[in-house]
Amino acid sequence: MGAGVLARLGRAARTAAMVWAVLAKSVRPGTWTAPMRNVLARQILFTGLEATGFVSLIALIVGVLVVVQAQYWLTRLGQTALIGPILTAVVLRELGPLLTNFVVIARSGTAISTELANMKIHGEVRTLDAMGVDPFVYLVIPRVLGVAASTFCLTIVFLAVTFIGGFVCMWIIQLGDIDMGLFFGNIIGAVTVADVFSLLAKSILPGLLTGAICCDEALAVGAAATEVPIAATRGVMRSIGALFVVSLVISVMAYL
Amino acid sequence: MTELSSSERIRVESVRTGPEEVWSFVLRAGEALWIPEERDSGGQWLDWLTGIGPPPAGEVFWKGAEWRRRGPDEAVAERGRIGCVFAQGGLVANLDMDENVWLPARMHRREKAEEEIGEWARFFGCWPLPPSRAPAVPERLRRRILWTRAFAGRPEAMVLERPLPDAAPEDRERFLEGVRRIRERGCAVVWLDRQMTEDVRAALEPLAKAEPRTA
Repeated sequence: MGAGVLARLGRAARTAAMVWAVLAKSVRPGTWTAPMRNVLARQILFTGLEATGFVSLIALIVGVLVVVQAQYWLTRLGQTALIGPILTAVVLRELGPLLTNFVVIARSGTAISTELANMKIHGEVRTLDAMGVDPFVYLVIPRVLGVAASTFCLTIVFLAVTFIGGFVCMWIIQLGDIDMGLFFGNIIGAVTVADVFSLLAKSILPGLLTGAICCDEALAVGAAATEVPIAATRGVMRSIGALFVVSLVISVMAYL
Repeated sequence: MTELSSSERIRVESVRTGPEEVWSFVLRAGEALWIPEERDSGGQWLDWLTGIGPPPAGEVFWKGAEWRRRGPDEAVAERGRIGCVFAQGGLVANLDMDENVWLPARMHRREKAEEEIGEWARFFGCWPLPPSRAPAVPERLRRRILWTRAFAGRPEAMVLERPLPDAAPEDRERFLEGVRRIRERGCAVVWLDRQMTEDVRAALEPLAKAEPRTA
């Protein structure tokens, strides 16, 4: 194997180890100090709450797009009752978690990488370390957990808005001639146990990886300010790569 | 452990700072030591003494155990017993000044932290601590606040990295009085600076100077 491949595998292993360390340390009560909980709350506020509006807008547009396309093709085939299951298959299984993660990576991944890289360059990480404040506990754990929890919640918001948007779109297209109970009943009826596990995994795992990758890249910078944008770019690109790989693996495991 | 070794705080053994410079010294409770560190050395001694970075060669012991032989959690906890004054920075920019002081106390869940912080903040004349970000706080007040953070928490040792550049005379006096007080409580003090002015030297008496031996 080439040096490039080995380096990539090494980085992937380091990220996996970091996620493991975050989970292992987060089950210890000693980790949950007041400052750590404060950072976690701020992270959830920024990544989760403040992104709700934008994620909802994207979700609404996706819901309308999927319903318009499904309506167009299924009307030709005379299978309009399949709109619910198609929404489930397309949005719940793939698009919802994928697009939500994209928004989180674009918003919070860059913010985490930039913030932590600047902290490292300006000696703030050294300051924390010298005071006996573990940068891993104070900086990394709340960010990784905050991103994962926020991504999961945003995915649920995304799905809810998409389904409601899809219903409203159908209602307009069919001039009110649609049964709400039937529409949502079809969607819920199409959800399987595998869908639930897939949704959980696809929203939480990439969130954990995004947080870990962005922290890892940021804390690896040296002393030059020019390293900050490089760390941000690398963090985002690696997070996107990890998102696709994780989504692929989970889909294959859940549905094949 | 003997009576003598139980008072040991920092021990440096065969630390090399150059091809021919080797440092070895011991610092005990209540003692003061001056390490003549060059301004452009990049803060190496502070990193080595607090165990956040190992020296290129040699060993640094804290209370009898070499930093690298301590587990990560133990090292973090022990570092919380060392007060640091940094030559540059020393602040977490996305925290208010009062949060900067409270941070180590809350992370280490120190008892009587409020009492201690209040005592030193009043001593340095920065009470109440301002709940505002660093740029909104005058440089002089900011320095006093960072001194408060270093002195609070009953430190067993203090590493002072060029702590008095351009400090006003009354601030210098206050700071040196603070160092005297904390030494009386058994805190060992390391002073890192290239030069040692007469007033500092007099205030820190008895003061030892660490000097390298030629390899």
